[in-house]
Amino acid sequence: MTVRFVDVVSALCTALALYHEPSLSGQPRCYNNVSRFVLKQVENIPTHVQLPLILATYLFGLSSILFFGLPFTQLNQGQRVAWIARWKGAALSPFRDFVRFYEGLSLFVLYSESNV
Amino acid sequence: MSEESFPHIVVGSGPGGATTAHLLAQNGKDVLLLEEGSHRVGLESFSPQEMLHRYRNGGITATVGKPLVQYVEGRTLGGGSEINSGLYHRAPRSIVERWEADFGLLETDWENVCEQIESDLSVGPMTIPLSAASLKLAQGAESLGWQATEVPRWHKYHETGPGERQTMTRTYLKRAQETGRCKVETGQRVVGVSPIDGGWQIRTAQGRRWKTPHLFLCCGAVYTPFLLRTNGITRNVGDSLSLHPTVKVTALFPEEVNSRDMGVPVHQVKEFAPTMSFGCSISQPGHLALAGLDQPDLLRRVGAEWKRMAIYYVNVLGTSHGKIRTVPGSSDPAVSYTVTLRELRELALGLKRLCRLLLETGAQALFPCVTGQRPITSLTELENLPPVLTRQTARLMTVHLFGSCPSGEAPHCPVDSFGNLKGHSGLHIHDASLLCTAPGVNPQGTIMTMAYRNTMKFLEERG
Repeated sequence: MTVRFVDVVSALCTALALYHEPSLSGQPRCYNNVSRFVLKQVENIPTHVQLPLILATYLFGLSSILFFGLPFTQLNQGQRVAWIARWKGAALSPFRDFVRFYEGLSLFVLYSESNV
Repeated sequence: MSEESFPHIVVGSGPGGATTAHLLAQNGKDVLLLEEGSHRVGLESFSPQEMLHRYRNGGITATVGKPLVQYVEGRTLGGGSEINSGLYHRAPRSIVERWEADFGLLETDWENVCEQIESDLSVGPMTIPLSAASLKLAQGAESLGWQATEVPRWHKYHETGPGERQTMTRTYLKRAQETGRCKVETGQRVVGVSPIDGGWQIRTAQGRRWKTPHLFLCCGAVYTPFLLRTNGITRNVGDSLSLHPTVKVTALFPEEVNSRDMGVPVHQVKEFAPTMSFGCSISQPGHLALAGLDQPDLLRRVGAEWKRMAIYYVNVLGTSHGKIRTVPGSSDPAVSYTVTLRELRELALGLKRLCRLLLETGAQALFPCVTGQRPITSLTELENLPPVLTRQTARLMTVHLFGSCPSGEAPHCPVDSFGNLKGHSGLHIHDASLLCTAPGVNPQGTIMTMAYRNTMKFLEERG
């Protein structure tokens, strides 16, 4: 099984965007802009932070196998939201900070470029 | 690769670097100005695209420590002046007197310099209608008998339309280039600075090399000390970073106070200055959503009610000292800052005072950027705010960093009173690093003042 970093980030950003969709119509739309922005930001962050973040992203993407039998990229939206919530509510702050990082960036671009 | 020679090289094109290059060029000196970023125009202010292209590390930078402090710096031609709000302050006299006494900073009678800069940059009050969100601060302060001011901006207003900020690319950099004596190279990240016979050799990550007898480092309070330390110049360098720790609160009003073209809020409450100040932030939907990360109820309402919301902030006079260090294998610095108990107490006090003011103006609900803090809807609920913000729950940020190479004659200052790095002839620092401590106001005016006076001193001494 191959899990690519880009796919995990895209799946995570899409799940967060679907969950937080701000449009008044409530209709989900294409969230490629969110994933693109977040991936570019990962390239921008200080080099000594990049490697830990990439490793944590793989951990996030693969560890869902222990609970759902599938990597994060293959979960449905309900399972993805549940997995994100599990990390967000973790006792250890690095898990919470991981979700906060991706959620903050996704929310920022989602609401900045929405038609609210 | 051949090595070019220039009589003066300025690294960094923000307010310090642009001021320096402008004065050198105006006085007949040939200058090469190197900037790491590019010159992209047409990007919407405070947008995701601007973050990507004009902020260092895409704006994703934070100090190491608990709580961490998120900060942003410009990385574009014109530096921070291109991405900030354009608010202008002179350094408070009481603070400068402390710099004289504690740091041995000489010749601080710089009112003439301030006046010159204010004239060059068209500093003045807004002549267009002020935003409702900004006016709320003035109304609340008046109602409580507190002092509030409309902060002047460096901005040219037009009869029609909002006019334009007098950024460095529109003022000093443009004027420097018009002399024909200032050459600007963008996309050049300086990584090597080393002494050679009678001057300095500079090397960039892009493989270019230059040499010069006079090198002016103007890369900001983080990158100037980082560059020096990377190249083995470490004595008292990067040991005393100061900042203004800031905490935000989002207010929901019964009426609309916000719009896509809300503009820059210009009011600040100065009743408790310089210890603490209150102001209004950029409050576009993206920023409001970010504020909702700690407040699920706020986040749920941003989509439908953002026009009734605005973000306000408390910043306090930072009293701690951070450090800037190199990290093996990394091309970026590690920045540490330990927020003190005193700072956390003052932030909590400031937050309480700001919430009181906002409730006075009719705010229906207040959402502090404090994890787990319930929204505040009445004066009695103010008592639910903690007397000290905790390290686990405080979400802090800053846009003001300085003091990493303080200027003065005292032995602990790595730079003398006029920007010369002690013990290193021909190496000058003209940026936010020079400020001795946190000034308690937006520092750009002070950075430009110090760069201006230091350059004039340099020119005087060399005829």
